[in-house]
Amino acid sequence: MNFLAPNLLWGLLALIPLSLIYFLKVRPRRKQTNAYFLWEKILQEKAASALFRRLRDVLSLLLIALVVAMIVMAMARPKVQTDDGRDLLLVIDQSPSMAAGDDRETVFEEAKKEATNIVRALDGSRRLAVVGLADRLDFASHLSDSPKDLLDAIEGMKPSPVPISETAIREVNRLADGRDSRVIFLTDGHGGLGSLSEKVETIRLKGPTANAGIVAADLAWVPGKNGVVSFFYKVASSFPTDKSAELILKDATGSRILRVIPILLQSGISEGETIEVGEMVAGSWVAELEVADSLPADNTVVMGLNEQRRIRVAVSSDQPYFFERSLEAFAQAGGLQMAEVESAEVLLTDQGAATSLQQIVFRPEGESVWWQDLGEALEQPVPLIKAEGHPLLRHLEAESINFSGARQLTAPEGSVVLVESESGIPLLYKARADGMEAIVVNLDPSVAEFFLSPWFPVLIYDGALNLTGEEASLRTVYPVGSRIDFPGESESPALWTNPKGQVARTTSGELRQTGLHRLQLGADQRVFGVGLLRSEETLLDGSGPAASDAQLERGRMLGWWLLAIALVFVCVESILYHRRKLG
Amino acid sequence: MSESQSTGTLTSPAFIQRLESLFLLARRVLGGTLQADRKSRKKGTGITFADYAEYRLGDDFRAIDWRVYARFDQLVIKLFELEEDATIYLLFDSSQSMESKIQTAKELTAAMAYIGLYCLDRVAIYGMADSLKPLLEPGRGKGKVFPMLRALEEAKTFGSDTDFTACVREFQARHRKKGMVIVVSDFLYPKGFEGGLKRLAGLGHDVFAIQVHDSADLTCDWKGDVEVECIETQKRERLTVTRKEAQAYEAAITKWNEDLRKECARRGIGLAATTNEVPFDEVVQGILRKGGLVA
Repeated sequence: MNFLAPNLLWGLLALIPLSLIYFLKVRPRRKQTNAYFLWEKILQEKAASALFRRLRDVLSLLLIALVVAMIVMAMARPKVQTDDGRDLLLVIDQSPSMAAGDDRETVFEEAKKEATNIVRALDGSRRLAVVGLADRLDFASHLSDSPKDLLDAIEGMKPSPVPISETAIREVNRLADGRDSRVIFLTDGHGGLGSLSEKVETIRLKGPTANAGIVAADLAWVPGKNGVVSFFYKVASSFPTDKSAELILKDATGSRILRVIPILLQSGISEGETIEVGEMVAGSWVAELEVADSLPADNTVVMGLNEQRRIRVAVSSDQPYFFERSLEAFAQAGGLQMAEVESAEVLLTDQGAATSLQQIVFRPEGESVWWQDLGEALEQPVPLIKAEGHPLLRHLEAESINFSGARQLTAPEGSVVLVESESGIPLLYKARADGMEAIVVNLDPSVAEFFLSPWFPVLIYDGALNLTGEEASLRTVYPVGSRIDFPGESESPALWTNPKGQVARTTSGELRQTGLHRLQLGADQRVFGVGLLRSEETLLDGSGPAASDAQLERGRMLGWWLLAIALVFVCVESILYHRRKLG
Repeated sequence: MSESQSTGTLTSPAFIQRLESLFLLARRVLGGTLQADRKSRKKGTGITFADYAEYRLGDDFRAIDWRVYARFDQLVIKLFELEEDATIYLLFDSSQSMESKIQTAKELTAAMAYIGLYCLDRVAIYGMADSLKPLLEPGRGKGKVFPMLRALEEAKTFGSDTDFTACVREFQARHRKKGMVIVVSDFLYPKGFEGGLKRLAGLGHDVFAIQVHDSADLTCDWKGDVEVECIETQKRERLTVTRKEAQAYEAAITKWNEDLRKECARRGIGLAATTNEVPFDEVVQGILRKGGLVA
């Protein structure tokens, strides 16, 4: 054992004057008596306790000396000698499953207590940082040897609604690889910790296991059935036995219950199930699993159901047959809608005429604002992808498309070339002119037999979505922590309002708040939900990394115990003093 | 506390006036003549008829009541109260233990001596501690009153212990003549009071005891650690006084006083007990109203 403030041990010299004062203090009052011989008789009867009486004074002095010595030693801040002087990084799992618990305490509160014990036990004997771990590392306190700062930091920590991300785990692993610090991880073990390094010393907190929750949910308009919506769900359970529960689908205000679905919760993740729900309207809907369990966060999922959106597409072609068949097929699925040119949003053409519409242009021909220097046809051009990851290429294997009939041309300035030939001739590009956009497909559909290609309808559908900004269509619900691109043009980003009422104008966002989110796209208002939807957070089955044999001081600091013992001694001495002074 | 104690003198007119009042009360209660003015329980040759007794060989023929013989054919003699020239010995405890109650003891001694002198008895006063110290040589008459009062006034505590038996032995050596012995003391004698009282009673004296307590001696209000010091010998002992010890002390002193009472009763010794808080004249009045210094 050594001391963090050894200078204070000089305080032990106080024992010398204290002893003198003590003997002066305990000197009894002298009382004269006329009947001394009677007292002598009483003293003879008390002869057996005389030894204790004499020892009592010595004992009292000893107690007081011990009290003073303990107080001085406590002030000198003793600590147990250890060879390991590395800094400690106290990482506390903040994932949603840490909020599981009973009426008395959650696992996260238990973790905070454990962390508090560690900080108190160390008592500033080494530097320590307090870090929260969820989808990112959050330093609640940087390296400090101030117990108060560290305890304040721990006190201020809360569970995150966002699960632990791989990025965050990698960061923890990187910290654990360092030679200057030890990483102590306080966790319940749930939430996808499979890639956690063995160098991270894990303290497993034993939380409750009985839990169930919704791990997947969706609402979708049923094609061809007006107002009919299909509801998809998956539940997971870590109850040790099968348990009956009810899944309730209702509107966000709870005033209208659409369906009550009886469910038998079985251990593990259930098969997904889809049911049709009639007479639904666009808006926010809630799926709620009614079961008494440990983690409420995964029992409710808010979903945003938006109006069916159909892009009006017109066809302008000498051979419109295949174009129209393709559009009719999409019209049945609800994505696109055949329209007249006057009311269309997108024009599907192989004539290349400049119009006031967004266009998907096949077979460039003649003069147009969409190309320049139109030349001869290319011989069997080999397509090379130039814009990897472009949304338009997301569902398209452009390299397998036959670009027969493609002609030499130059894309207008500012165009985005997606695919070009090996000689650099643009084969698929997106051009902009006069505030309009066009997707130019440099091939002859008839020559290339593109109408028969599976990529033909894909290109038409994705092109229409891309030109109208509907590419990033919203799902009804996203897992918390997802990062999504919002619909809309980059020039006029969506106005995003999260469940806390925070507003941002952005084209994408990281969904860190569960609940209903709103998007304002011009005059168009859309909603979507964010829920936990993570089976690894719901299944509290005790899996996860095993506890490490972390050698670590815990509990009250040594000085605290010294003070506590000193207090006990003071009480004993008080009793003896009371007996001396008051009998 | 008595008035004389507050004035601090036994020769003050007020104190003497209180003594005079007590004497008048004594005269009224006890009666008698100027000479040998104190009644005695002894039957003798006085003029006041006291009782009859059966005639025994050697009795004075002149005392036979012939009238009774004529009527009952039985020889009886008439007994008369003895009117004697008595000597009153006052043994005044002057040990250190009397320090807190010496004034009351002095006043009581003075009262007794005053009444004796005014009844023309011989009065002698001795201070008593580890030895006997004469305060007033035997004398008679009212002229001895002021010397007696001055002697008591000037008397101080002495000695390093109280040895009642030794004092009585010394008293016995000094005075063979029987008389009345009045012991004014707290009777807190480490060596006991039995030996002294037994010897006094055995010498044929009329013995009377006036026990003067300090109220503080009768109870124990000490608490906690104390160093008990003997006021006479200065012996000391450390002690923790709890309720138990306090009760033990109070029981011990109660038993001590009770033993004194029993011893006096057994030996026909009158006993009056008082404390230093009771005025002396109240004590004397109480004694007189009970019929005098009788057991």
